[in-house]
Amino acid sequence: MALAKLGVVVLDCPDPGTLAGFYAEVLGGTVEGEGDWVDVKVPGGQSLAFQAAAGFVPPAWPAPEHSQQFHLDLTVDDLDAAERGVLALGAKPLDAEDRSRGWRVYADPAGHPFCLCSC
Amino acid sequence: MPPVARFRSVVLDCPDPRALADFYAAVLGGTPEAEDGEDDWFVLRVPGGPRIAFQQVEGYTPPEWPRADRNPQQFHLDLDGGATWAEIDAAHERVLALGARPLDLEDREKKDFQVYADPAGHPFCLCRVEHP
Repeated sequence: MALAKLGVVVLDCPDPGTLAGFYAEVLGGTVEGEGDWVDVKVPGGQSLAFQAAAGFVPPAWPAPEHSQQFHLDLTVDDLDAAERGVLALGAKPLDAEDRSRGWRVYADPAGHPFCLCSC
Repeated sequence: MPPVARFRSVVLDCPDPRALADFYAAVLGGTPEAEDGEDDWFVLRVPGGPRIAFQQVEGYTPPEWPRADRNPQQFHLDLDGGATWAEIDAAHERVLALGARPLDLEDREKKDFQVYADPAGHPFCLCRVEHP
């Protein structure tokens, strides 16, 4: 028997409002709250939260001594169209050159790696 | 504008994907599965919830919580441990028995959560949540 239910996945960042805005645009969610903790409610999906971390240092992926610790996999129908979308919203490509794969790696505006997956 | 993407998985880096997947399966339910039959990526489909995946990283360095400036946690999972402190106490005993360790148990009445590290060192919270 499970002893808990997953609530939210909480991402550390320097500016919760900004990062929440990015993921709300990408996933189609609603931004709720302001300040040190901001939620993104995704209809029918996994909700995310964003927490201000003083002195935040982004990961230096793929260096294990500056670990990403986690990443989000996001499903898309069209990798090229989704790439244009996330880059326009402030993401940066980390490993997106290989067009033969069904996934590409980007950093969100706070520096957390995430993948777009068509698989 | 339609969304750009749909949430698929949250993927946790760790040294031993099978062990960490077993921990979260015991906490959240579900059965871990090795993807493509390999030992370096396990997927846990949480019943009624999302997919949590576990990825093996060579030389993995765990977070130094609560530091933000060196090996920061980068993220954490908030887990709903129940509506009462009795339920949280029961969940506390069970996560410790599964290999979690306490990071911050202070001021719980004020904060409504307690902080733990999972067996790989990722912080997570057991939250007391009033259900409507």
